[in-house]
Amino acid sequence: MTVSPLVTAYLADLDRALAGADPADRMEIVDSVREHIDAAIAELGADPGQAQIATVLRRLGSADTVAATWLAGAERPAPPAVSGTPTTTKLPTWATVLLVLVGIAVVGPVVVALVTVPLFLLPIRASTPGWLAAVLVAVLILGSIACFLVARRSARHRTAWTVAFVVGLVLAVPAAVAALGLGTGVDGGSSGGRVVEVGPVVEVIPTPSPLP
Amino acid sequence: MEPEDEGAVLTQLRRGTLEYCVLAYLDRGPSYGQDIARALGSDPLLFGSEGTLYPLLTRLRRRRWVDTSWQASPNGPPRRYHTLTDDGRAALRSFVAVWEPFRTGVDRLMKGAQ
Repeated sequence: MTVSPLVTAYLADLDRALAGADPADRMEIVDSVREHIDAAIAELGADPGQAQIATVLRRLGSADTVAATWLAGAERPAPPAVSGTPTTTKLPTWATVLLVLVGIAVVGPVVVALVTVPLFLLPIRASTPGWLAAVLVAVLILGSIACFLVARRSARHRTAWTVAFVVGLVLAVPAAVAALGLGTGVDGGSSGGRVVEVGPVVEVIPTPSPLP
Repeated sequence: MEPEDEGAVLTQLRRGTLEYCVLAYLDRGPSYGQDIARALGSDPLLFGSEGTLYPLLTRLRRRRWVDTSWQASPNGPPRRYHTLTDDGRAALRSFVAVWEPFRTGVDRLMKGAQ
């Protein structure tokens, strides 16, 4: 079967119009259109006229129109290849904040326990509640810094992470006060000085001698 | 800026919906290009020209919404048959879920604009 010059010209135009497309996609589109034309012409019977072939091509639309369909679709970002999950549910902001707060409330004590249990095994003279409060302060501050860093990078839940950052800092203040309070007031009573205990740090400050 | 004519409006509408029409047709069963083109082309408002189907099919195959395989034809050379994949079926379901309320909303507003 000889290929009509009309078909050859049409396919060449289409190939040219798809010059910007990926070579594999371009070849697939041109081949598919060629098959469509061949099948449509075959239905016309033996030796169809040029007018009939022109009608087949007219129904296809111009080569530029076909190529424009591809190029217009290419402007849109293609969805991920694995799109079997219909939609990913997006948590509302309040739910994220709640999750973060519950996370701090649950994970915080666990971390404190993990850090402090080994400390009890060490021969350090210090007030146990003071230790606990000091470690809690450290956890809260580190957690807040982490929330702050995530808030800067997160586009979806920036508000939630910022709230978690602020809450962490606010909680760190009473924890710090508690650390100082629990660790203070243990009188050494040894050399006439007073013992000021700040968390795990125990410092002896000599009492100034009275002026003569 | 000039107002859009009907052709431009149709082009915009087809751009967002036609590929789902192809999925809907393939949901009935595997089919080949000419058959799909003929079915969708029966409504000229929906389908401007048969050739625009093929870029759509290539895109759907790239997204893995459609699988393509060669099958023998009773008359003539083998044909590329297109089959809806599970991903394609899920995409179609998502479109249908959105389309109904979307169309209702547009209809309600357009009645006021007439």
